[in-house]
Amino acid sequence: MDKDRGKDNKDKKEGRDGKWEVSDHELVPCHEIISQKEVTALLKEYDIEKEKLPKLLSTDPVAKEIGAKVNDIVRITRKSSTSGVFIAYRLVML
Amino acid sequence: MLDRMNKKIDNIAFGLLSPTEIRKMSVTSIITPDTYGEDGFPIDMGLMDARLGVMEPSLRCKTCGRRVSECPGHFGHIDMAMPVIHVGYTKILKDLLSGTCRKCNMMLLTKEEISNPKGKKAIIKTASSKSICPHCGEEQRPIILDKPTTFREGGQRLTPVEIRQRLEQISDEDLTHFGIDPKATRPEWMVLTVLPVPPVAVRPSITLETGERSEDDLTHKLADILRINRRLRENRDVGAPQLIVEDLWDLLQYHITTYLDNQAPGIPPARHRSGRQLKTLAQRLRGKEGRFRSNLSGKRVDYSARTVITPDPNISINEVGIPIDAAKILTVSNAVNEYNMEMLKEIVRNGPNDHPGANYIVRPDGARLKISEKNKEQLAERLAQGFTVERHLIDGDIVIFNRQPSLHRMSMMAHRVKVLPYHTFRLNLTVCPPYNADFDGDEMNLHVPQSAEAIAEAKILMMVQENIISPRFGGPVIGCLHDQISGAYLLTRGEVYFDLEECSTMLGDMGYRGKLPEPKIIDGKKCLSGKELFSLLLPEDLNMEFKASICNNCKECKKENCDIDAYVMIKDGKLMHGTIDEKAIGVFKGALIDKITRDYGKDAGREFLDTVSKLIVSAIMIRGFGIGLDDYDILEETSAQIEGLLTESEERLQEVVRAYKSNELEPLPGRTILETLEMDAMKILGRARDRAGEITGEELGLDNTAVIMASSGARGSPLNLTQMAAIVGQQAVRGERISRGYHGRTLSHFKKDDLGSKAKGFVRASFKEGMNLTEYFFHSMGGREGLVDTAVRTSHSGYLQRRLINAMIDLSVDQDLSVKDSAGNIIQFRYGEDGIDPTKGKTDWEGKIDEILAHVTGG
Repeated sequence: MDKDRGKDNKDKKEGRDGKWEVSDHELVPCHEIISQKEVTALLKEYDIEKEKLPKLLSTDPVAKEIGAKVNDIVRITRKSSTSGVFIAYRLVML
Repeated sequence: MLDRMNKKIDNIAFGLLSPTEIRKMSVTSIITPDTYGEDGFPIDMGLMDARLGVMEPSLRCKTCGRRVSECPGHFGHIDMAMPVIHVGYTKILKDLLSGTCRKCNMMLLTKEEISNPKGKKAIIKTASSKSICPHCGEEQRPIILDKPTTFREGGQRLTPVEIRQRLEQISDEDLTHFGIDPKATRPEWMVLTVLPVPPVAVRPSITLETGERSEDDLTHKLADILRINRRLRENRDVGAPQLIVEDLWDLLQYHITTYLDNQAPGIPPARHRSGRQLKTLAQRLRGKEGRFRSNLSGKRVDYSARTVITPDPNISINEVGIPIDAAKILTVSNAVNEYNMEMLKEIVRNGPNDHPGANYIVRPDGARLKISEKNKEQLAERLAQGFTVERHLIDGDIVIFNRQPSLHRMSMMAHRVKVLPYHTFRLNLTVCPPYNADFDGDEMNLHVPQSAEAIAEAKILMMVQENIISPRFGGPVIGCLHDQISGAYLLTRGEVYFDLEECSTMLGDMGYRGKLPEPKIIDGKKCLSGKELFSLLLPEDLNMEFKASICNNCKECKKENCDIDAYVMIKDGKLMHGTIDEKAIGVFKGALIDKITRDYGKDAGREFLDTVSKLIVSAIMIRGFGIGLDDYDILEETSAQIEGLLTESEERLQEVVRAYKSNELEPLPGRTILETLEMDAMKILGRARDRAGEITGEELGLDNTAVIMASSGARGSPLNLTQMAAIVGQQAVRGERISRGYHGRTLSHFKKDDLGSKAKGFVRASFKEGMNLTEYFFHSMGGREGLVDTAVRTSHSGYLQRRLINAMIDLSVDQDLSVKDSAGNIIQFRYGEDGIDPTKGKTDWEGKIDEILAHVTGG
């Protein structure tokens, strides 16, 4: 697991001239596009096709911010009251 | 079954029946409204034509030659004299008519507009709003639908003939833009030229005892249609005046409309001679009693029973008492083998009327033979391997017990049968909470699983003892109630001693077999303490510490030296300190039940519940428990003290009112002065009642039975006590003091603008003293609100529940612990985000390092 996972995007704020983005909000969990290698591993782990994943609209504000394109898979790392940290994946659509 | 499934449904298409199809599937044209001739046989080409199928067992169908049971029935048809509109399609017809040109019948859209990405609805809307045809330039007139079936174009009526002509001209391509598949449906079919006549099996006639025949509503309606149809044709053919023909046409339209839907808006429903509304096609399908909700979604089953429930504390939580009469009707099938042959022979020999008997035997060739008093001996002799016996329910059989509303998986649990006399189902009291049952006349259903698989599944997954811990919150849903908790309190609080005679009564009741601890000598008698007796039920290596329900939550817990014996400490299966009450054995809370079922298994949990309730009930019967009016008597000094307290609060309220009236009251942020006053008043009077409650509570003390019930969690709350003994307090409607009624006052008993306590619903009396008239009225206002709220809440939450169930109905946890729907879509990557089954995982570990350490290191 890479170190940055679970952290929000706050530290990247400098590069954007201090402009505010939705992912700065504490209720917006960390979204990141995952690599082709990770995608293959994910689909193998659950033994499914891409289309069976939950969806994320390409027009979603967070999707726009991280530059997700249709057919990308986004990893969402959020806090969970039962397991501490919970990781979900979504397929960007439309 | 499987080897017959060689076809797979690939897709389903919906469309309309074309006139050609209707004629093709019809076996005869129906022309006369008459049904039966004088000879009692159906008239040819009449509504009961024998080619439509027959209803008498002796006759054969004229079309297929089969008898009633095999013949599926056949459709006929009626040729309409003039076309008529189908009520079910008026909305689509309106869209089609107003969306196409009245001259060239093209859709009123340009190429660009057709490719509107917003969807079909938006396309249809833009097409209907056009006033000039983009293709031929013809001016369009607005189409109005005059309910139920009349169309007008700019005030002028369109006849079904004209409508049909227009619809015929619409191109297939345009139809797709209206959302119609031209391969399955042509719009002109929505205007009927031929009407299918359903087979007689759909509308059977009933023969009354007098020998008179009574026809089905549908048959009556079809007869009306036929009569008018014939008159219309005759009048039209002889060239009758336009007006008469139109009237008859309208009448035909009315009959067709009511035949299809007798509750169509804007039309008087067709009635029977008696004035009863006819039940026509739409009425058969629609609503709660319709075909869908009543017959297709709602199934009725065999091997089931329903009756009133009554309590029986002496049967196990796993058992259900079944009336002997029900046990003789409900059966289980047993295959005969060499081991059970003798037993089954005996059962068959008992016949259908003596209890452990049997009702049927099934021969190896599948023939079912009914056992009667006459043939029982003979059938018992014929019994051999390969036979099946349908025997009565006997003790130990597995049945599924259910109470509606089934909101829970615990609303259907498997029980073991216990055949008992009388006519009610008997239920152990501790299983009431999961069913939400009580005994004020509740009825419950019972189902008998038949196959070995079903029985095994019910036993392993649905048995009551498997459901002690709820998956909803990971705590017990089965536990002690009411008197059982009071009893535990009386048995275990402090050092209560019972002499050996009393002890043996109790231990006998709970069926204890085992050693007793060394008795103490008290007043010359050998005695055991309540705590010692209770300890006999606990597993030997049980160690627990927790605070009981009677705990006052002192700032600093004295633990085992608690003044009121509220700190429960169990060491090696011995109850050393503390009182057993709701926190230990109560429903939803019982820490002891939770611990025992989790750590020592479901069997131990069931055993514990069974025995603990028997012990406790026995204990409370020895000690005696009850309440009377004088339990709420309070000393005169206390009374005076409360009186003083109330007078003081009253004065403080008057102070605030004075400040308000002289405009000196400082408003709270975001509130008006009046709101501030109301909040202050509520606070002052609320505090007065709380204080009065504390004072009475102190006086009544922990030995008062009402206090015992309230503090141990058996029943009632400290507030109930205060209201009975000291003061009822402020009545509220919508969370505010009562304010509405007359102009500026609540009742005519008060002066205008009186903002004091009495005029605004403060009840100074207690329930025991009794309220005065105005107090009683205000109390009723508050009480009514409570009733309305619960009524509204239950219906709302019921609907919410239904929606959630429908949304989640076929989600399941996969082997990789992800939650998937039936199509394999992932809903949640890990069940509950932690993949833990709350009924199996440990809860409440947080902050219990010592316990964890003890558990891991083994002591």
